[in-house]
Amino acid sequence: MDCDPAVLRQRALDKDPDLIEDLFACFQQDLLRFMRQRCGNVVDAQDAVQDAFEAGVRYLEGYRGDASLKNWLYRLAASACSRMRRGQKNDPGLHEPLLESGASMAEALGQQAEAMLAARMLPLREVLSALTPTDRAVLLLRDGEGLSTTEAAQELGISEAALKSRLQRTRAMLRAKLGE
Amino acid sequence: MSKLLKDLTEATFDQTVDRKDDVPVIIDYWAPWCAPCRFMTPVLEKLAKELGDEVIICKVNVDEERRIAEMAQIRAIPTMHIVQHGKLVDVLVGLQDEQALRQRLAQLRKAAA
Repeated sequence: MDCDPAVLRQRALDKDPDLIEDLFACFQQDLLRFMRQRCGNVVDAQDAVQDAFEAGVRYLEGYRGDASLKNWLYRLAASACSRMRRGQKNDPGLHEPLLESGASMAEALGQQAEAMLAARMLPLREVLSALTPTDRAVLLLRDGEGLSTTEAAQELGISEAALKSRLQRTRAMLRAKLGE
Repeated sequence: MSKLLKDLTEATFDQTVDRKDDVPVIIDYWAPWCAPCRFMTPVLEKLAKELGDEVIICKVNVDEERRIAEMAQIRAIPTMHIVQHGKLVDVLVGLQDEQALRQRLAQLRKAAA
Protein backbone atom coordinates (compact mmCIF):
# COMPACT_ATOMS: atom_id res chain seq x y z
CA MET A 1 0.00 0.00 0.00
CA ASP A 2 1.28 3.45 -0.93
CA CYS A 3 0.90 6.03 1.85
CA ASP A 4 2.54 8.78 -0.18
CA PRO A 5 0.43 11.96 0.32
CA ALA A 6 0.43 12.85 -3.39
CA VAL A 7 -0.77 9.36 -4.36
CA LEU A 8 -3.51 9.38 -1.72
CA ARG A 9 -4.62 12.86 -2.76
CA GLN A 10 -4.94 11.78 -6.38
CA ARG A 11 -6.93 8.70 -5.36
CA ALA A 12 -9.26 10.97 -3.38
CA LEU A 13 -9.75 13.27 -6.33
CA ASP A 14 -10.39 10.18 -8.50
CA LYS A 15 -13.07 9.11 -5.97
CA ASP A 16 -11.39 5.75 -5.34
CA PRO A 17 -13.94 3.73 -3.28
CA ASP A 18 -11.18 1.68 -1.60
CA LEU A 19 -9.28 4.71 -0.39
CA ILE A 20 -10.78 5.05 3.08
CA GLU A 21 -9.55 1.58 4.11
CA ASP A 22 -6.03 2.47 3.02
CA LEU A 23 -6.21 5.82 4.81
CA PHE A 24 -7.15 3.90 7.94
CA ALA A 25 -4.15 1.61 7.53
CA CYS A 26 -1.79 4.51 6.78
CA PHE A 27 -2.82 6.94 9.49
CA GLN A 28 -4.70 5.10 12.23
CA GLN A 29 -1.71 4.75 14.57
CA ASP A 30 -0.53 8.35 14.10
CA LEU A 31 -4.05 9.62 14.65
CA LEU A 32 -4.51 7.54 17.78
CA ARG A 33 -1.22 8.76 19.24
CA PHE A 34 -2.08 12.38 18.51
CA MET A 35 -5.66 12.09 19.74
CA ARG A 36 -4.61 10.39 22.95
CA GLN A 37 -2.87 13.63 23.91
CA ARG A 38 -5.57 15.83 22.47
CA CYS A 39 -8.56 14.01 23.98
CA GLY A 40 -6.86 13.21 27.27
CA ASN A 41 -7.73 9.52 27.40
CA VAL A 42 -7.55 6.41 25.25
CA VAL A 43 -11.28 5.73 25.03
CA ASP A 44 -12.15 9.21 23.75
CA ALA A 45 -9.17 9.06 21.39
CA GLN A 46 -10.42 5.78 19.91
CA ASP A 47 -13.92 7.25 19.54
CA ALA A 48 -12.52 10.37 17.89
CA VAL A 49 -10.46 8.37 15.41
CA GLN A 50 -13.40 6.12 14.58
CA ASP A 51 -15.57 9.20 14.14
CA ALA A 52 -12.99 10.78 11.85
CA PHE A 53 -13.00 7.77 9.54
CA GLU A 54 -16.80 7.57 9.54
CA ALA A 55 -16.93 11.23 8.61
CA GLY A 56 -14.18 10.59 6.06
CA VAL A 57 -16.34 7.97 4.31
CA ARG A 58 -19.25 10.37 4.33
CA TYR A 59 -17.42 13.42 3.06
CA LEU A 60 -14.61 12.05 0.92
CA GLU A 61 -16.55 12.92 -2.23
CA GLY A 62 -16.49 16.55 -1.16
CA TYR A 63 -12.71 16.55 -0.64
CA ARG A 64 -11.25 19.23 -2.89
CA GLY A 65 -7.56 18.55 -2.35
CA ASP A 66 -6.98 21.83 -0.47
CA ALA A 67 -5.47 20.18 2.61
CA SER A 68 -3.47 16.97 2.89
CA LEU A 69 -5.68 13.96 3.64
CA LYS A 70 -3.75 13.31 6.83
CA ASN A 71 -4.40 16.84 8.09
CA TRP A 72 -7.99 16.56 6.94
CA LEU A 73 -8.43 13.43 9.09
CA TYR A 74 -6.61 15.11 11.99
CA ARG A 75 -9.05 17.99 11.82
CA LEU A 76 -12.02 15.65 11.79
CA ALA A 77 -10.70 13.74 14.80
CA ALA A 78 -9.69 16.93 16.65
CA SER A 79 -13.16 18.30 16.08
CA ALA A 80 -14.63 15.09 17.55
CA CYS A 81 -12.41 15.51 20.65
CA SER A 82 -13.58 19.09 21.11
CA ARG A 83 -17.21 18.06 20.90
CA MET A 84 -16.69 15.28 23.43
CA ARG A 85 -15.12 17.79 25.82
CA ARG A 86 -18.23 19.92 25.49
CA GLY A 87 -20.31 16.86 26.32
CA GLN A 88 -21.92 16.71 22.91
CA LYS A 89 -22.79 13.37 21.39
CA ASN A 90 -20.29 12.40 18.78
CA ASP A 91 -21.79 12.32 15.34
CA PRO A 92 -19.96 12.48 12.01
CA GLY A 93 -22.75 14.71 10.73
CA LEU A 94 -21.52 17.47 13.04
CA HIS A 95 -18.42 17.82 10.88
CA GLU A 96 -20.27 19.51 8.05
CA PRO A 97 -19.65 23.15 9.05
CA LEU A 98 -15.96 22.40 9.64
CA LEU A 99 -15.53 20.92 6.19
CA GLU A 100 -17.12 23.91 4.56
CA SER A 101 -14.46 26.23 5.95
CA GLY A 102 -11.89 25.08 3.36
CA ALA A 103 -8.28 26.22 3.38
CA SER A 104 -7.36 29.29 5.35
CA MET A 105 -4.38 31.04 6.85
CA ALA A 106 -5.03 29.26 10.16
CA GLU A 107 -4.84 25.89 8.45
CA ALA A 108 -1.63 26.83 6.66
CA LEU A 109 -0.10 27.98 9.95
CA GLY A 110 -1.22 24.76 11.61
CA GLN A 111 0.54 22.65 8.99
CA GLN A 112 3.71 24.75 9.23
CA ALA A 113 3.60 24.56 13.05
CA GLU A 114 3.22 20.79 13.00
CA ALA A 115 6.26 20.45 10.74
CA MET A 116 8.28 22.87 12.89
CA LEU A 117 7.43 21.07 16.13
CA ALA A 118 8.15 17.67 14.56
CA ALA A 119 11.59 18.89 13.45
CA ARG A 120 12.32 20.10 16.98
CA MET A 121 11.39 16.67 18.32
CA LEU A 122 13.83 14.84 16.03
CA PRO A 123 16.86 14.98 18.38
CA LEU A 124 14.70 13.67 21.23
CA ARG A 125 13.37 10.85 19.05
CA GLU A 126 16.91 9.88 18.08
CA VAL A 127 18.03 9.79 21.71
CA LEU A 128 14.93 7.82 22.73
CA SER A 129 15.47 5.27 19.98
CA ALA A 130 19.02 4.68 21.25
CA LEU A 131 17.77 3.68 24.73
CA THR A 132 17.26 0.07 25.73
CA PRO A 133 13.59 -0.98 25.49
CA THR A 134 13.30 -1.13 29.29
CA ASP A 135 14.88 2.29 29.86
CA ARG A 136 12.63 3.78 27.18
CA ALA A 137 9.57 2.18 28.78
CA VAL A 138 10.59 3.45 32.23
CA LEU A 139 10.94 6.99 30.93
CA LEU A 140 7.72 6.96 28.93
CA LEU A 141 5.63 5.42 31.71
CA ARG A 142 6.92 7.83 34.37
CA ASP A 143 7.45 11.07 32.44
CA GLY A 144 5.14 10.48 29.49
CA GLU A 145 2.16 8.65 30.92
CA GLY A 146 2.55 10.05 34.44
CA LEU A 147 2.45 6.68 36.22
CA SER A 148 3.76 6.55 39.80
CA THR A 149 6.95 4.67 40.61
CA THR A 150 4.90 1.81 42.05
CA GLU A 151 2.56 1.62 39.03
CA ALA A 152 5.39 1.78 36.50
CA ALA A 153 7.40 -0.85 38.37
CA GLN A 154 4.39 -3.19 38.43
CA GLU A 155 3.72 -2.58 34.76
CA LEU A 156 7.29 -3.51 33.83
CA GLY A 157 7.72 -6.30 36.40
CA ILE A 158 10.81 -4.76 38.02
CA SER A 159 11.49 -3.54 41.55
CA GLU A 160 10.82 0.07 42.48
CA ALA A 161 14.49 0.52 43.33
CA ALA A 162 15.52 -0.73 39.90
CA LEU A 163 12.99 1.55 38.24
CA LYS A 164 14.22 4.61 40.15
CA SER A 165 17.81 3.80 39.29
CA ARG A 166 17.02 3.38 35.57
CA LEU A 167 14.94 6.56 35.53
CA GLN A 168 17.64 8.63 37.18
CA ARG A 169 20.30 7.33 34.80
CA THR A 170 18.12 7.83 31.72
CA ARG A 171 17.10 11.37 32.67
CA ALA A 172 20.76 12.30 33.27
CA MET A 173 21.71 10.85 29.89
CA LEU A 174 18.91 12.78 28.15
CA ARG A 175 19.96 16.03 29.81
CA ALA A 176 23.55 15.48 28.72
CA LYS A 177 22.69 14.59 25.11
CA LEU A 178 20.04 17.25 24.61
CA GLY A 179 22.04 19.93 26.39
CA GLU A 180 19.37 20.91 28.89
CA MET B 1 -9.38 42.65 26.81
CA SER B 2 -6.92 45.40 26.18
CA LYS B 3 -7.23 47.44 22.99
CA LEU B 4 -3.49 46.97 22.54
CA LEU B 5 -4.12 43.33 21.68
CA LYS B 6 -6.49 42.62 18.83
CA ASP B 7 -8.97 39.77 19.28
CA LEU B 8 -9.06 37.64 16.15
CA THR B 9 -12.13 35.88 14.80
CA GLU B 10 -12.67 33.77 11.70
CA ALA B 11 -13.78 36.92 9.92
CA THR B 12 -10.62 38.88 10.73
CA PHE B 13 -7.94 36.19 10.98
CA ASP B 14 -6.63 36.05 7.42
CA GLN B 15 -6.70 39.78 6.73
CA THR B 16 -4.82 40.51 9.96
CA VAL B 17 -2.24 37.77 9.82
CA ASP B 18 -1.47 37.46 6.11
CA ARG B 19 0.66 40.60 5.73
CA LYS B 20 3.10 41.26 2.91
CA ASP B 21 5.22 43.81 4.82
CA ASP B 22 8.00 43.14 7.34
CA VAL B 23 5.88 43.60 10.46
CA PRO B 24 5.83 40.40 12.53
CA VAL B 25 2.48 39.23 13.85
CA ILE B 26 2.21 37.39 17.17
CA ILE B 27 -0.91 35.26 17.59
CA ASP B 28 -1.48 34.28 21.21
CA TYR B 29 -3.85 31.31 21.56
CA TRP B 30 -5.39 31.44 25.02
CA ALA B 31 -8.44 30.69 27.16
CA PRO B 32 -9.85 32.52 30.19
CA TRP B 33 -9.43 29.46 32.45
CA CYS B 34 -5.73 29.08 31.60
CA ALA B 35 -3.62 30.70 34.35
CA PRO B 36 -0.33 30.80 32.40
CA CYS B 37 -2.22 32.48 29.55
CA ARG B 38 -3.28 35.25 31.91
CA PHE B 39 0.35 35.77 32.96
CA MET B 40 1.27 36.36 29.32
CA THR B 41 -1.28 39.12 28.76
CA PRO B 42 0.56 41.95 30.60
CA VAL B 43 3.82 40.92 28.94
CA LEU B 44 2.23 41.11 25.49
CA GLU B 45 0.52 44.41 26.31
CA LYS B 46 3.84 45.85 27.40
CA LEU B 47 5.51 44.76 24.17
CA ALA B 48 2.63 46.07 22.08
CA LYS B 49 2.84 49.45 23.83
CA GLU B 50 6.62 49.68 23.53
CA LEU B 51 6.96 48.50 19.96
CA GLY B 52 3.91 50.26 18.53
CA ASP B 53 3.64 49.73 14.76
CA GLU B 54 6.72 47.48 14.71
CA VAL B 55 4.68 44.48 15.76
CA ILE B 56 1.08 43.33 15.68
CA ILE B 57 -0.01 41.28 18.65
CA CYS B 58 -3.31 39.41 18.47
CA LYS B 59 -5.18 36.96 20.63
CA VAL B 60 -7.38 34.00 19.78
CA ASN B 61 -9.69 32.75 22.51
CA VAL B 62 -9.67 29.03 21.74
CA ASP B 63 -12.99 28.50 23.54
CA GLU B 64 -14.77 31.05 21.38
CA GLU B 65 -12.86 30.42 18.15
CA ARG B 66 -12.74 26.65 18.13
CA ARG B 67 -12.47 26.30 14.39
CA ILE B 68 -9.43 28.56 14.24
CA ALA B 69 -7.82 26.54 17.05
CA GLU B 70 -8.60 23.29 15.27
CA MET B 71 -7.31 24.46 11.91
CA ALA B 72 -4.18 25.92 13.52
CA GLN B 73 -3.67 22.55 15.29
CA ILE B 74 -3.37 24.12 18.74
CA ARG B 75 -2.73 21.25 21.16
CA ALA B 76 -1.78 23.20 24.27
CA ILE B 77 -2.22 26.72 25.58
CA PRO B 78 -0.66 29.16 25.79
CA THR B 79 0.75 28.72 22.31
CA MET B 80 2.04 31.59 20.22
CA HIS B 81 2.54 31.65 16.48
CA ILE B 82 4.88 34.30 15.13
CA VAL B 83 4.16 35.09 11.50
CA GLN B 84 6.08 37.28 9.09
CA HIS B 85 5.41 37.81 5.39
CA GLY B 86 2.47 35.43 5.73
CA LYS B 87 4.69 32.54 6.88
CA LEU B 88 5.10 30.93 10.28
CA VAL B 89 8.55 31.77 11.63
CA ASP B 90 8.23 30.42 15.17
CA VAL B 91 5.98 28.37 17.43
CA LEU B 92 6.24 29.02 21.15
CA VAL B 93 4.45 26.60 23.45
CA GLY B 94 3.97 27.39 27.15
CA LEU B 95 4.72 30.43 29.25
CA GLN B 96 7.33 32.65 27.56
CA ASP B 97 10.03 34.80 29.04
CA GLU B 98 9.57 38.49 28.21
CA GLN B 99 13.23 39.05 27.39
CA ALA B 100 13.40 36.02 25.10
CA LEU B 101 10.28 37.20 23.27
CA ARG B 102 11.72 40.68 22.93
CA GLN B 103 14.98 39.28 21.52
CA ARG B 104 13.12 37.07 19.04
CA LEU B 105 11.16 40.05 17.74
CA ALA B 106 14.36 42.11 17.47
CA GLN B 107 15.96 39.30 15.43
CA LEU B 108 13.01 39.26 13.04
CA ARG B 109 13.04 43.03 12.60
CA LYS B 110 16.80 43.01 12.04
CA ALA B 111 16.58 40.17 9.50
CA ALA B 112 13.86 42.02 7.61
CA ALA B 113 15.77 45.35 7.58
